[in-house]
Amino acid sequence: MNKHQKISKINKIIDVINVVIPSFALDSPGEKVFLLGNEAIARGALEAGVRVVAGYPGTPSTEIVETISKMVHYYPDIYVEWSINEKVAFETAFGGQMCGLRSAVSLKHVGLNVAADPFLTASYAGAKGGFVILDADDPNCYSSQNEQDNRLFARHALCPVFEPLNVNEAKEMTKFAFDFSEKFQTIVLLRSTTRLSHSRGDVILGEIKPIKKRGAFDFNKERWTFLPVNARKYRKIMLERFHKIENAVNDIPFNNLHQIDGKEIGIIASGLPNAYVIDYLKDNKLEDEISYLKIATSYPPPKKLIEQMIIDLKRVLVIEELEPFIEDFVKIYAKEINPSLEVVGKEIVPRNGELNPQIIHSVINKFLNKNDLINNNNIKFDIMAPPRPPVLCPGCPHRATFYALKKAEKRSKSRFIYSSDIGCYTLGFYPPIETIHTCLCMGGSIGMANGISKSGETNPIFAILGDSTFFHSGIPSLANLVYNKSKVNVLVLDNLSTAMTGFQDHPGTGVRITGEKTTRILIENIGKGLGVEFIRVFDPYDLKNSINTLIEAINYSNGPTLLISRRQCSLLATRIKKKSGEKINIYKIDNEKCTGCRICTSTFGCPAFSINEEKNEIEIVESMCSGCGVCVEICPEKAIYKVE
Amino acid sequence: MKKLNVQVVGVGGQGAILLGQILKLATLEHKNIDVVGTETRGASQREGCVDATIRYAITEEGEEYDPRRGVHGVLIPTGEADILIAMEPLEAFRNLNYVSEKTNIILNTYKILPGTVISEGLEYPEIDDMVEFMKQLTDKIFLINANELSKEVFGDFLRVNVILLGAALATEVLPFNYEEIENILRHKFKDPEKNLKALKIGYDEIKKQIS
Repeated sequence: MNKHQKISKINKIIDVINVVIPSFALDSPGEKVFLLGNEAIARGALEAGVRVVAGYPGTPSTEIVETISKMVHYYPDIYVEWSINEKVAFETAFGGQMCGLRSAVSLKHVGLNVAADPFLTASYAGAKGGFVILDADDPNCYSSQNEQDNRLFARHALCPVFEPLNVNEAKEMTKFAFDFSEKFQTIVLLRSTTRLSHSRGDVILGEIKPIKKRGAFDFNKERWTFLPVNARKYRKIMLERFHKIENAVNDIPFNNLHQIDGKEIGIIASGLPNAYVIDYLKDNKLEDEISYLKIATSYPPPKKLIEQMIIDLKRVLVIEELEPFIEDFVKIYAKEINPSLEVVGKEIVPRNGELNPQIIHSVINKFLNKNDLINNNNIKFDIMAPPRPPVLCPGCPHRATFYALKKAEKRSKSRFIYSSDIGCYTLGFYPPIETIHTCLCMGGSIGMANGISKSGETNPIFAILGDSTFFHSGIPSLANLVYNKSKVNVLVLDNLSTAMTGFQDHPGTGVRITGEKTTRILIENIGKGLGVEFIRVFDPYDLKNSINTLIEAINYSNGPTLLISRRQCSLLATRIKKKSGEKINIYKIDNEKCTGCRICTSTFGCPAFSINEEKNEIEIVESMCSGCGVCVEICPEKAIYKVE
Repeated sequence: MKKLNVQVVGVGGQGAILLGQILKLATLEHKNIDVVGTETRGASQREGCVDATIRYAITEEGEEYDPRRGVHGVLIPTGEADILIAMEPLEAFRNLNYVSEKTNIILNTYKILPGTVISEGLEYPEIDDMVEFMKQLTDKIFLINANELSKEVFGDFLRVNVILLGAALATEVLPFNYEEIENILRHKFKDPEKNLKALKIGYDEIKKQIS
């Protein structure tokens, strides 16, 4: 092919990319496209004919529902929603499958905790229409409060777990999970992880099953009504169903045993780390030296395959992220058929954090008693790289609210207690802001603050949470404050968006996932309805008023207060301004007036401030500044001015 | 089968993920190249460390295409990066575990001070010291101030990532050529003229250093 032909071929491909239909929505079986892991999972659901999808945003799972929402344009029979929390999302999808429709709920690992109540009982009934939980775990807690292993959770519910190793398999397994669910009348949990969800790779598109237009409720009411008499019956049905599944997983093509006769050692791996194991065996030319079992259905594990593999082995290494899940099963199976088998697992495979090629390399080498000769540089450098934690964005309204809190705290001559929650604002934990004292779980700020308020603590107590978090699970705990007459100041940082996960809408924005307008629910109206007597809405950019409002709230002694600091997320606001061509204000520092006190950087800490190292002066980086102007008020020398 | 690894590192907001995506898209047309990769996502990454990983598996001429693909793991093993595109010096320094003597480092010398330096007074290492250190690992280090070049020509920092892409192309290590990237920029992105200009600026700057 000459250069010219090559370019014309590229142009053709680019035309395909350029057509309006995104590649994950194309109806062209056999075509190779390039997708994000989460897009591939959404594509698998589409190919399976998914009809009802509900979820709550949470990194690393968010793009699954977002991708499906983009498919709705081309496949309008699909129903998709952001529910207000994972419990409601789970119940919504469960309702969908009751009507014989293929349904899915998408959530992050800790989201399943919120949906645990319906999950552990729904699994008795199983699924009629095909019901898959699209779950994304987060080994290494990249953006989560813990790194729980949801395989254990699924085991609690006797729910099969499928774990793909790469992007294409994620698509294939998702599709397969729906068929499996319907065939065995079971709920299936498809477990991704941050690494897989945020990987990109080639995917071969498959056929899209026709999407059922209308479902019909299944009036088999015994199956859906968990009175003790029905629950006992369905507990038995679940156990019988599970027994069939235990047999079936041995024949699922995604599990793969590569047995080498006459060898005494083997490796078993589960889920994504299989990718590293395959690369290792290939790179070290060990493919025909070591028996290798790739497990994709980690629960129930393929017992027959494991037994077939380990019966003649002397030693086996089990590689999996987080808990010794497969390892424990291997130990149990070995006891029956090969008691002298040495099962090596978590004593050399880390039980915390994410696995990676280096770790796999050194783990297998250790197992093989080989020297760990990694191509590594052993040169040490005596200078430390200063850390670069993510920070609140320039112009972030949260920073302004936090600054007002600190000012109010100083003025009140007390020490505020900041019971907080999950969202961008948790970054207020770091210096120079440091107005976060707790963060446990979604909506947890209010309950913890309630407990603190009943413990004889005399300092003012704030429960700080975001708007989306308030809708997620803040409402019942606010009712609890009113009911129990608790003196807690609930401060909702309302930036009119689920900003942390990428600006999803929620009931407070009045817009649905598809862009459709809906009733806007105002947080202050909820407070009113719940009987909160002290309610204030303020603009955090107006520092003076914010500080006064906060002081007024802490002096109010008759029950809880509800403070709503309302201002659109600055990233979103700047984006909208730029799109509409609106001018963004420019601020500069008058270096004649600036005394170098550094209050702007050491207490406010907006990332638009930088240090000009040559002049040793503070400057405002124009490309960073959002033009909010809050810093004008914080500068004691009035050295910051707006460029007219 | 040949493997080729590219690691892009930078600071949230610099366009590292987009740069990674162009590098991944560029191979769609090449039937003999499989590509996998991973990236840091999440809106809260602003001003934090960001990276994008691109791994190519290239079936070479005369070799049979392996449908099982040559590269499965999306992360680059220690020392295995063929190119490290560092959009910020400190981030290059932070990611030297990917570097060995085979690595080409494209180093944008424009500093972005982390909050811990500005607000807490931690020390930002001298660029010269960091580069000296990198030289012990590889002699293929190319310095370029992409921010300054972008500002000079376009008046803003928006095209830093495309300038660095041009710089990376100049090493001729990537498995596609300059024209192919030009085509992607021309058809897939807004302001093609500016992007093509930015690509050339980066390319020429490094070519000058090589010759």
